[in-house]
Amino acid sequence: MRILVVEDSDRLRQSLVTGLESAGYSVDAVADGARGLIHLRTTEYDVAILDVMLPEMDGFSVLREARSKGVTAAVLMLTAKDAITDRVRGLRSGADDYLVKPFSFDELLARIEALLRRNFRTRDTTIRVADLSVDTAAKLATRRGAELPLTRREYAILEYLAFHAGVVVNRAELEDHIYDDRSQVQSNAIDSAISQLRQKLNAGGRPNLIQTRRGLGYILSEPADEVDP
Amino acid sequence: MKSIRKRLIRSFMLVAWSTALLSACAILLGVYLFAKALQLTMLFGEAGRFALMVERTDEGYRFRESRRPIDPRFETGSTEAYFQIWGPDGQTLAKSASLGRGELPTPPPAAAYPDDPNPLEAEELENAATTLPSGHPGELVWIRFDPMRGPGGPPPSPTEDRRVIIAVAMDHQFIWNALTQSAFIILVLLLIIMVGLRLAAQFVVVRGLGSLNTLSDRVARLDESNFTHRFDDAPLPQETAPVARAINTLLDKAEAALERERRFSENAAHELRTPIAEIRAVADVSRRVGTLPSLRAGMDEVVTVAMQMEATLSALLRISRRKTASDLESIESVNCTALLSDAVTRRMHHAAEKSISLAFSPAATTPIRTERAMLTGVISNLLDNAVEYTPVGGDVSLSLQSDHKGITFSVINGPVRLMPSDIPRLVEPFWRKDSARGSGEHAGLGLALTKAMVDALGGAIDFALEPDARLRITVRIPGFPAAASTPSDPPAAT
Repeated sequence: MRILVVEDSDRLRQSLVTGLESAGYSVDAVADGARGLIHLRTTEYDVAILDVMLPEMDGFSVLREARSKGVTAAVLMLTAKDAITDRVRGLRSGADDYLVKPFSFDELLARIEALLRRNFRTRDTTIRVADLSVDTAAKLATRRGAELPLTRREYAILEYLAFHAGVVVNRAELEDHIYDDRSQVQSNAIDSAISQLRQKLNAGGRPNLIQTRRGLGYILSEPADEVDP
Repeated sequence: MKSIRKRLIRSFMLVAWSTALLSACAILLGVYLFAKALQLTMLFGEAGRFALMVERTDEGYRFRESRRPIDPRFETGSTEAYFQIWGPDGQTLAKSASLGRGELPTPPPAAAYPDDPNPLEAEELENAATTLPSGHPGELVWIRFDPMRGPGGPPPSPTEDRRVIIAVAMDHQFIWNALTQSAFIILVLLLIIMVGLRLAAQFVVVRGLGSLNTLSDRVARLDESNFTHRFDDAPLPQETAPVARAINTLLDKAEAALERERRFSENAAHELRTPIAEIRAVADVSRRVGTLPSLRAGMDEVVTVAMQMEATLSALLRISRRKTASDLESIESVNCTALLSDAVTRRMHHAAEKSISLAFSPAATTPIRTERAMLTGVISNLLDNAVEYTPVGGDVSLSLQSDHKGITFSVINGPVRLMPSDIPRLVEPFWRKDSARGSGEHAGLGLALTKAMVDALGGAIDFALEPDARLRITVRIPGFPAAASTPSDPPAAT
C-alpha cells in the first residue's frame, strides 16, 4: 500500500515515514501543500496523510483541489486544530478521517487500516482466499494456519492482491502501490517478487493462488480459477 | 453607595427649600411693612377722629366725648391703645382711661415752617417708636393742629399758637398678629408645596434616570455568551447616549483584548502541540522499530524537541512578564558598533548559503550603558529573522547611528512577501505570514520577544514596509554615555 505524507514538520514527517515503512507501507513524503497536490494528482496513493497548516497551500485547499481533479485516495487530515468547526471543515473538504496532534502512532496505523478496508469495501481485518488468510492488522499471512515467512515487500504485494481478490491487478498498478518514489524499481522486480511469493505460498505442494493473466497482470483467487500456473 | 437619584432629589429640594424660605422671608417682610404702614394709618385715623372731638370755645378748649364713641381699646385696663390731648398751654385736655395715671410722651417742639404764610395754623403730623406705659414697644403719632371753633369761639390769632396736640399710641400687637398669621399660612402652604415638589422631583428624577437604569440592567446582563452585543444609542436620551457609546467603545476594546488573549492561548496550545506530537511520534516509531540505534536517534530527537519547547516557553514567559527598564539586572558599558559587527560576522556563513548579501557599514559610536545580554538578544533576533525570511538572492543591510540620547540601528531586508496590513501583526506572538510551522525552530515569537526586550531596555521599535518590498525595522535604545573606553572600529562586514 502506498501512502503520501504531507507534513511541514521535518521531524514529524521523518518519524511518520520511518514508522509507516516499518509497518510495511511504501511512503512518499513532502513538506508543502503545493508539492503534496502534485503528488496526489500524479500518483495513485491508497492513503494520504495531510497536515492542515502547510506552507504554500494549506491542507484544506490541497484537498479541495485534489478532489476537484478526481483524486480518490483516502485522506486523513492531521492537525493541531481540534475545534469541532475545524474537524467539520476538514471532513466537508473531502477528508475521510481527522486525527488531532499529538496522536498515538498505533492509532494512526489503525485509522490507515480502517481507511484501506473502506477503500476496498471490506469490514473484516482478515481477508480469506481459499485456505489463505491475510491479517491486515497484524500484517500476517497464514496458509492452513501456518504463518508464511514473507518479506515486507512480499507481504505488501500479497495484501494488495488480497484486497483485490478475484480482480486482475496489472504490474504497473502493483509497482505504483508497492514502491515509493525513492525505490529503484527494476523492470522484472514485480515478476521476481511474485515468483518468490508463489514459492512461499505453494510450499509443501499447496495449490497455487496467484495466477498470471498474460498481458493483463496477476489475480489472487481460488485454485479453481487457475488458468496459467 | 452613593445614589444619583437621592443626590438629584436632595439637590433639587435644597434649592426648592432655599428659594421657598427666601420667598417666605420676603413675604413676611412685606407683611411687616404693610402692617406697620397700616397701623400708622390707623393711628393717624384715630388721631383725626379725636381731633374732630376737640373744639375751641371762648371758655377754652373742650373735648367732647359724646360726639363719637370711644374705641374700647382705650378703656380702663387695656394695654393696647392710648391717647392723650394737650392744650396749647400744655395742660392735658383729655386722655384715655387705659393710661390711668400715666402719660404719653409729648412731641418734639413744633417745627418751623418759614415758607408757610400761617405757621401757627399749620397742621403737623409726627410719629415715633416708643415704649408704651404698659412697657410694650409701640408706635406713637402726634397731631398738632388748630381745632375747629365752637359756637362763639375766638377767631384764629396770627400771633398766638393755639394748636392742640393729640397723641395716639398703640402697641405692635397688630403687626405681630399679622406676622404670625402670615407666617402660619406661609408655613402651611410651604409644607404642602414642598411635599408636592418632593413627590414631583421623585417622579421626574426616577423617570429621567430610567434610561440609565435600563442601560445598567442591560450592561449587567452582559457575559461571555453575548459579549459581542453593542448598545444602540439612537433611542437613548441625549444625556445617556454618551454613556452607551462609551460602554460600546469599552466593549470593543475588551473584545479585542479577549480575542488577542484567546488567539494567543490558542496559538500557544497549537505551537506546543506540534513538538509534543513530534516527541510522541518519534518515541512511538523508535519503540516500534526497536533497534538500539533507532532508540538512540529517537532519544536525541526528543532531547532536541524538548530544548526547542523550553526555548519557546522561556520566550513566552519573557514576553508575559513584560519587564521594564527598572528591572534590568546588569547595566554595563556596551560598544554597540562592535556588538553589531560581531552579530553580522556570526551570520555571514548562513547568509552566504542562501546567497544573501549581508552588509553592515560600521560607524564609530559612543558606548552606551545598557544590559548587554538583552541588547545582544535584540540584535540576534532581528538578524536571524532577516536572514531566515529573506529569499535566496535577497539582501540584508544594517545601519547604526548614535547621539546623546542613545543609539538607533536599522535592519533592512527583502524582498519580503509582506503586505502593509501585515505590519501591525509582526509583533503579535505566533503570527507568521505562512500558516505553516516550518522546521519547528521558529514559533513566530521572535519579533514579539524582540519588542518585549526593546521595551525592557526602555527603547522603541518601528516597522515600515519600503516601496521596494523591503522591511525596515528601526530600533532606538537609550543609554547614558559611558565614562570610560572608546569605541573600536571593527572592519566592515559585507
